[in-house]
Amino acid sequence: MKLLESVVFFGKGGIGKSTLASNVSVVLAAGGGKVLHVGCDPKMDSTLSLAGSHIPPFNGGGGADPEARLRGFIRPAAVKGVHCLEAGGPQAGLGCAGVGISDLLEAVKDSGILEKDGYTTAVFDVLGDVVCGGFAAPLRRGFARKVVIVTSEEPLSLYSANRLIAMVRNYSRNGVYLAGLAVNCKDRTGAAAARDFAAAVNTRVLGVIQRDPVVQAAERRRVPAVLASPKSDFAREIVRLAKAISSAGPQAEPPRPLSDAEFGLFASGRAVSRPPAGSGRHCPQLVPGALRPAARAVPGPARKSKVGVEEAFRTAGMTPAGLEGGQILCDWAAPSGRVRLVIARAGPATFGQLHFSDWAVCLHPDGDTMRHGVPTAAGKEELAAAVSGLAGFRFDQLLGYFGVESGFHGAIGALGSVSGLSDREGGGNEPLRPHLGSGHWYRFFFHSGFSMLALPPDLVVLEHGDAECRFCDSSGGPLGLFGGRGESAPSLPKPRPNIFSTDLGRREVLLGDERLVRESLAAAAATAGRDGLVEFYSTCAPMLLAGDTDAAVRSAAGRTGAVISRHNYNSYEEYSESRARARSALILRGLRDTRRHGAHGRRGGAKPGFDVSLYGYDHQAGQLCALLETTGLHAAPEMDDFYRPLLAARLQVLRARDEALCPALDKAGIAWIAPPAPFGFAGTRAWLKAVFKALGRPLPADAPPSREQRARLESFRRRAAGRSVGLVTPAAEIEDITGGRLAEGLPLAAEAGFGFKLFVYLEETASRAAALKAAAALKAGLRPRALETRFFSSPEELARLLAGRNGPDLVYSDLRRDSRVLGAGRNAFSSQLFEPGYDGALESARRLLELCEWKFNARYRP
Amino acid sequence: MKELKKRFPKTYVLPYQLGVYLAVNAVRDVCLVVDGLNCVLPKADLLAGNHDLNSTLLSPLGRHRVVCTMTGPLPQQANPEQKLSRLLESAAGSGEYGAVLVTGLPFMNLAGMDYDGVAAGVKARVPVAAVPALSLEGDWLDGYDRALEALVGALSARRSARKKRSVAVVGYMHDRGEADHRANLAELRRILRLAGLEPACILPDGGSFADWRRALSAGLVVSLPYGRRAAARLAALTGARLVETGLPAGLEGTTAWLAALRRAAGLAGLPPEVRAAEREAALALSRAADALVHSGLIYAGDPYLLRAVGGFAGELGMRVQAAFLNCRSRRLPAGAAPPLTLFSPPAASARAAAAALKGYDRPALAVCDSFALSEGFAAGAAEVEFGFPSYTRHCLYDEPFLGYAGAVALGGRLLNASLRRGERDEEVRE
Repeated sequence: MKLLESVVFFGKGGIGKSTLASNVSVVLAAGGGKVLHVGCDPKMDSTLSLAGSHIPPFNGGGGADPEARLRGFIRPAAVKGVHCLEAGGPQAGLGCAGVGISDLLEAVKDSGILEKDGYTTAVFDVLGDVVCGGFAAPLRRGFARKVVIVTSEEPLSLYSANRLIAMVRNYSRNGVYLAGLAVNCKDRTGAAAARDFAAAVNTRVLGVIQRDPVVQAAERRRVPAVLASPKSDFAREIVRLAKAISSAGPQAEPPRPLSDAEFGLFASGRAVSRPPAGSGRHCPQLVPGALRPAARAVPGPARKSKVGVEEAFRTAGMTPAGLEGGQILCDWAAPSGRVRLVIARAGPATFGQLHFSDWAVCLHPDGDTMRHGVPTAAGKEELAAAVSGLAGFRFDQLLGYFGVESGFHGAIGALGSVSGLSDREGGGNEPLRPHLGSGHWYRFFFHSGFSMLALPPDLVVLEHGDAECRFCDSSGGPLGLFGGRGESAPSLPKPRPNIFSTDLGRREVLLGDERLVRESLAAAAATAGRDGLVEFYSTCAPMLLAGDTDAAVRSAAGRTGAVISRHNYNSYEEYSESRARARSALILRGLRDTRRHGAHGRRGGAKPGFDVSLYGYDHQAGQLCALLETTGLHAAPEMDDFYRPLLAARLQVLRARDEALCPALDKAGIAWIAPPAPFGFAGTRAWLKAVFKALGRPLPADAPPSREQRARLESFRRRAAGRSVGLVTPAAEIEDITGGRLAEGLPLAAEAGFGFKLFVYLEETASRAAALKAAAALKAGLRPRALETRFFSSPEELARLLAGRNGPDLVYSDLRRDSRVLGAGRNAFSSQLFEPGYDGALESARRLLELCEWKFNARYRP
Repeated sequence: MKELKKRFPKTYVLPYQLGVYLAVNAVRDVCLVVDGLNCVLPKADLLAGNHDLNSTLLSPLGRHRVVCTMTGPLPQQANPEQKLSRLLESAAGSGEYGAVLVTGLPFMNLAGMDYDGVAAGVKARVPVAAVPALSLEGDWLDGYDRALEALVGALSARRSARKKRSVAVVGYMHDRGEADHRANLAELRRILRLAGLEPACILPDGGSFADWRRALSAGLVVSLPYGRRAAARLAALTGARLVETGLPAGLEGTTAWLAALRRAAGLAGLPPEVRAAEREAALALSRAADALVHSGLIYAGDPYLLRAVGGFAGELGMRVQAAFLNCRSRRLPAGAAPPLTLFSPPAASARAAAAALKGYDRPALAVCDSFALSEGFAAGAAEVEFGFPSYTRHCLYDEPFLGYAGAVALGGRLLNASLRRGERDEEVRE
């Protein structure tokens, strides 16, 4: 038998939904139907009168036979033809009841039980206020079609009904429609207000039920009132209501909710008039002049010039910093100091936002709380004045500043942070990786500098998240899009021994994660011990659940004396000021403890046993140790320990400055430097000089490079004569070539005798002169044999330039198997080719030359 | 940290969305929009490039087939469905894809996003379908099946004339576009023809979504374990007969599979060509079987391959000593579970359990995926990297593992690995 009817009851809490829904179910069954009555309220009271007692709620599908499991929760009512099912839910104030409802409905849908078991009607009774999408689950495809909103004549009840109408409109795509209002009122006079409201929103009143003492009496006996008092007015009205629900079809013109302003006027009894009877008009009429629409900024004229946008940003004292979630981030030099702003496509007005054109601006949310800051009144005025220069631009034009392409990938690119600096993967001393979904066809290199991040082994990192979160930083690998030489294959996360995942599951989501948080924090704090450090990261799902994590933090910290810092998102591979400070304190404690208990090369007050210890150089450390040995310095060997190497030498040579480690070294009295990386002959010599200077010793006269090394470099230079490497960049980013990782290797390529060919993406409006000036500065800095600049304005033009007779031998690209390079018959190289030290420089030069002579990709172009 | 490691262990289980990614990877023109932050993207690295050299999931030009909406948990305001609808419309209207799938991270599921409704509401030239966001309930095998099911659901219902002998094999685990799967697909088609059946399609097979329409004319839908839901949905859509099978692995296993298919197609017995092919493969394997008999084996990977590998190992006179399964608990067919079987075990527990197999129980071979090998589940046995993920073994030439040809190739791998181990042990003794 086919399911004929599926009805969902919504309405403000306490308005009588369950009473009406359960009695309607009885009436529908009495007409010969078979009804499944589904209670979607954690209170589990919808089926109380039907079943005569509480029935066990559904507590999750799955298992070997999910259909049989679901059937186990369906209980026959005391009334013939009605079966009951309760979604249940967590204890009040915990978990997420919406998930329970979604789960139940998925199980019903998956099993096909409504059809299989011959139900003619499904009645869903959903709890009071629909606070999230979970409670709207019955409106998803394949469930309820008809919605009945239960309301009284009271303004708050009607307000709630108005919002529910907006919800029904949203789900109309699923074939859902509003059957009408069921008015549960104190007396007949109250019904008039509800009827006025129905007219104002263009819906119908399906029935008016007056409060009747028989209902309370029946509910006390846990019996449906229509059965307890079948001859009462209430029973008659319910029968009428059930008939009206059954016969209600979709309206030709669907209901339209009132705006908040309209509702305010309606509630005051002034603003909305009903259409005259028989006028044929269905829409409410606003009384002229009674409601002035909210002032809305008119989108500005479409300006074409990109320079105009740049200038406007500059004039406003703003520096665009990137895109995030489809919003523009920019730094504003406010009178009170530097402030980060968010410019977003205008949506509904939010407190603290200023609206211009088709966009709005507000302060960037705080990283941890994710709350948008609200400027002071004076600040608001200053901001409004500064931003007004941008008011003439539409949001898409502002986006154009970032070169976001049009279409789907452009839209996706705009959603991401195309500034490309936000994603760090693979651990502390890995290079920053660009965002994957850039949507920028012209980007060949990313401004990923080398940064350091210390995760000391005694730090306990607790990630409160689900299985997806556990795998979210597991990228990398030698064959990944950004992978390269020296990277190991991806491993089962979490790959670090001091990072733990709570593996949040469905059970915690449904019933609340308090216990899991409490226990995990207690265990983590106990492990960290007194003055130890626990970093607790709430990921997205717990953030949405919004449990009382602070209480668990206080309790665990109080009991153990551990320091617990709490953060949102699993951002342990980024420093914030407070995070760096806390880690620094932990590292200092670790250094002092290790020193007290004896460290390799240093016991008690003994002097360090080595001259130098290298930190953060990873697989390149061996080469550099060998280099240092040739200068007479003793470098500490690699140790499977975090603290001991830091105490083993007179000087720590860091790959880059570390925000937590360096202050700790300072406080511990350990000397350190973070010189520029030793790439190329000149770079290596500068690095050695820095090391010797920090040690207070002169660089020995016979320090390398040796004569043989010089001769080999000269021989490579001869072979490289006439060879060139290509760099492809947008005009605005030429200066950035001298920053980041790319910059480390380019001088090496210049030393090795390669010329440079600069391919500059130049939009019509960009200044060619400015680009040439930046290119000249680049040449002066790198001093290559030659630097030739070519301009292009389309991918096709670039392809021609790269593939042409005057094209470069090699093209720099941070992307593995970059099809733009391979398609041009050229080989690509990236910073991963470069090795440190003199021997490393020679090896790098040899690799560059080998690539120049390697014809595989040219011969077998993809 | 020991206690903490015990309380919150690193478990050997792969997440739901990784399965969805595998399915998307297996249909070359499908785009997946994940409603959530960009932390969903690094997971693609677990597949693209590192496991599948030929994957097009990620693109050097930024035109990835897995993209995210950058929707975060806070603030929840206005109507997030509108942004998603626009994006899906844009993807479906871009002309780049044959179908678009949408799913969400668990927190978006908590927020009650109606992905099914949003997808159905998109008006575009190509279908848009929702993959339920079940990361909290399911694992990668569920994700794979659900994504295939969503794609089947995106086929427009058309009851065309069905051919009795035409077979749609649904739920093939096409985890990479390398030659192991290319050879598997060729072998499956070959043996189906040997059995007098006409392969309409094997889904997914790395082709485009348009190819899936071939499934609509099949008279028989063969449901492989990775795509039970998808197969059932296809059969319901077309009215074709449905037969649920395991994987066609090993000699007897392949013959039994073909026999089951013929029965389901209403055909009697097996043609002599099938027996001849089985016998030919057996001859090729006979010396290897002599060398491998009595060997113990550890398996780590998915449960469906366990059944296939276990059955084949049994044919060769080997025994599976232990199985570590990278998914949530599932019912295994009778006899398929070895004495020690652990679902989604903590890595340390699996390692310890493998190491505890000593004396005559000490396994000679470990047929494991990369994660299991890197976590030390092999316990010193000769390693045969197998299944998803395989990071240190890529197939540039044909090397099937299903059907008769697959049995021979896999037998060869087992033999060579065991001989290498024998040599190594000899060196140690010397």
